[in-house]
Amino acid sequence: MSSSEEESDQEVEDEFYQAFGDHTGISNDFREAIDLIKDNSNQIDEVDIGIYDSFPIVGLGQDTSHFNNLAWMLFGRYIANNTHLKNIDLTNCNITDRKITLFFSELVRSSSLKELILGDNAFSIEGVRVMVPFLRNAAKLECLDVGDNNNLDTECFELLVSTCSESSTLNYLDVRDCNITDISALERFSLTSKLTVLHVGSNNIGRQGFNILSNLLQQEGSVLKAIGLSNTGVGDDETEMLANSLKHNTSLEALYLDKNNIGKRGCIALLKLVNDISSIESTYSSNRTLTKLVSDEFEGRRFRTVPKDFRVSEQMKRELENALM
Amino acid sequence: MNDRKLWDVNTPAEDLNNDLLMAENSEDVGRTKVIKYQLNSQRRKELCQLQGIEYSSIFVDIEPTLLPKILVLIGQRHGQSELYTALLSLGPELTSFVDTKAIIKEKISYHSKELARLNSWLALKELGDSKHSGGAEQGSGNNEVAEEGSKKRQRTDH
Repeated sequence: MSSSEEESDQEVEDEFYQAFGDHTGISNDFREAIDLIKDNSNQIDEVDIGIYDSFPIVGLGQDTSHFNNLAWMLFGRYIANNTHLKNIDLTNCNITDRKITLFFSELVRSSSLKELILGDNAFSIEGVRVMVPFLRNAAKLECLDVGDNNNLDTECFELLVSTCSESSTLNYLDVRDCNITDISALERFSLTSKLTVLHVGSNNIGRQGFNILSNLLQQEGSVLKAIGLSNTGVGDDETEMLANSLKHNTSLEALYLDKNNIGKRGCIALLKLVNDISSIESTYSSNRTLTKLVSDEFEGRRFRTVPKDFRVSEQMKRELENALM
Repeated sequence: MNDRKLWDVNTPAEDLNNDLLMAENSEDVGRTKVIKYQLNSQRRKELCQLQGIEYSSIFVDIEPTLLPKILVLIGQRHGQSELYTALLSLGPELTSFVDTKAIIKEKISYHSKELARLNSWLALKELGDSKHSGGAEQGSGNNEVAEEGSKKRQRTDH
């Protein structure tokens, strides 16, 4: 090894120590994990902050709170240089615009990531803008989750949708609870011909939003398998609209409708969608794809398929559940 | 909708108690839903009520030749009580489905053939009886010879 290479290695180690050394308060386990990522070890293909009871899922929630600016930059660089990492979950790491800028300034070169979860953080449109070059470059990225970021808004959503529409691999987008009031970008950028999962729950997308989704679900090229609409103010009118749009849809398997305002009329529309009893032909040709109206929620030993908060009789819920299965 | 396949009693219907989970493809799901909900009068009544639809017979629009298969499916999947209910409502349809003239013709043809067969059997029997009675007379002479021969042997023995 030449003296210049030795110097360079020493610099890398010095940087690592400055960012992640004992003095930073970062746990030994997480430091070791970051070291493995830095060395492109194939022992780690997933970084999940907050869950720490099984290897190779590594990292404690408080660890990233000890990250200084250099740490965020190096963390991005190590991940970008690593060819084995597939999934990164940085949920609830208090990532601000400053931190995300440092992180993505290096992460932009990453080519192995398939899943990036940045939910429940504190970045805004500025953070989304620095994400764009990475999203354009991420040739394998399939899943992007920026849900529960209260500083995001419709403009951020439009920027994400326009960027993601250029991707040939992205099929999962989670933007729940991001202050989005207009989802027309989905229509403008034809994203639903690529997305299989779209979570827009806890956003006030309005009647126009449900109209847009209904139109998209009726399009032949739609490949959507799941739409999250929890807590979006869906009432009976909107449910009827969605149910009508799903009559001939053969791709959607899940339509999450919990935490809404659905009563008898909406529930009957859903029941007729999956089991229209008016004739043998109607029953036979009822929607056969839709099987879930609530995200994974255990009841007893099995998953619920119908939200508990539908304001209808137990018999109606039971019949709907039976027909969905 | 392929009626023949839908009502095919030889195609194993999915386990209805397992709530469509066993259905392997989209067509199976449709078929299972029809068998589960349309062929069970009680369930259909309940669902009609829930969906605000007037309950009426499902058999009106079904091709009469398929009715026997449907009845088999009802019996297989929903038990004797449902089969009985279906038979009650299907009585007139099933009766009208029967071609009485054809059946009478068939019966006449059958009985004519049977009559002809019996006549020919009777004729043969009479012929056989007459032959048999002639043969019986001849047979009694032979017995006498045999008895005689027996006596001769007895004599020789003494």
